[in-house]
Amino acid sequence: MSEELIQDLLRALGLAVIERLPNSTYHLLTPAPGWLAAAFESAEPGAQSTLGGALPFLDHFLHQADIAWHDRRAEPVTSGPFAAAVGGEDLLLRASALNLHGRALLVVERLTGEADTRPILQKAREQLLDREQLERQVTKLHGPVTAIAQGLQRLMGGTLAPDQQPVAEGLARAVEELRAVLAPLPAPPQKGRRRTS
Amino acid sequence: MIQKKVCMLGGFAVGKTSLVARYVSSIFSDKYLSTVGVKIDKKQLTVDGRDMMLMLWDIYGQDDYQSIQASQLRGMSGYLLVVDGTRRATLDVARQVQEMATQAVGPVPFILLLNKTDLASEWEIDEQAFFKLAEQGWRIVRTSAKTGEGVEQAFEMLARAMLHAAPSHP
Repeated sequence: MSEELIQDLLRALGLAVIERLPNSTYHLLTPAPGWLAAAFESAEPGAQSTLGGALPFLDHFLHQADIAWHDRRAEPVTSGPFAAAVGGEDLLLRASALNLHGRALLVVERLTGEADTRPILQKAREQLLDREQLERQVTKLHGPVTAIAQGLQRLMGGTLAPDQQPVAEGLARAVEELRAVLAPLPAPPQKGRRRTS
Repeated sequence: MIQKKVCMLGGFAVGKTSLVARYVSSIFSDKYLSTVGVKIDKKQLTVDGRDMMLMLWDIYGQDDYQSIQASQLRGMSGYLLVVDGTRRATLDVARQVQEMATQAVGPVPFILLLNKTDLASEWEIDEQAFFKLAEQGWRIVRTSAKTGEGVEQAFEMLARAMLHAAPSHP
């Protein structure tokens, strides 16, 4: 594969491959992806010439990377996803440090498409919030259901007209069904709840 | 200038990102936007005559989908532990995260933020729980990223605590 093809491939993938040189400086081996160029442009004055100035999270990750390079680990060390505000947009990025052919390499990639897990997590957490909300609503039924059950018990302990007896029994069965549904859910606290700020 | 790393920690959807946005950019959005990974913002302030730069690490909320990594807390000088007052379970998460943070970096200053005070009518957490934590020495500040209540105060209180804290050696 030609050098030019590899360069174009890396650019198309949005990958920046950076070499850490023995004098502790960094050298970009690939053409700068648009997002990386924009990150350097949007860095604060005075910080535009450093990786950490353009992408502050890398300042942190480079400590981990240094250890991996120093130990000449074969397996890449990855940063996990991190977000960077570039040109008014929050980009999701991930960095990896690895040793290859005796060279210390840092690969920074932009996570897009399926690799960008933000929409999935957003959906999952919205559903969790909805579920929590639903559970809160349902647990509020504990009190009224208990009150109905106790009232019914008192009624059925007295004398009911013949036509009232089956109605009361039907209600009692319905209440038991409700209580069975509510059983797995905790009852809301009754004391010390804050109602006003 | 003194630079300090501050992490925003807590469960998901408690308002960590909104608190940073309120503090750094004085903005608030009602729309919940889940944080993935880490995002760093900066804020300069002067505390007791000393210029400080806070590096604010907005770390995704702890839940079944993402767990906070100890490596992300390395170098942290202090943190804000955020609880959503309308969701009781977020206090349990905060307690777990506080234990994890202490194990990772030692006893650095932190403040428990009781967030979403603008939703007082939906409050769910028992006041007694906070009294107990206060008795254990936890600093607690009531905040609302929506109205701005307590936000500046909380960050400044943490900055002051970090400024005067003895260096920790975890």
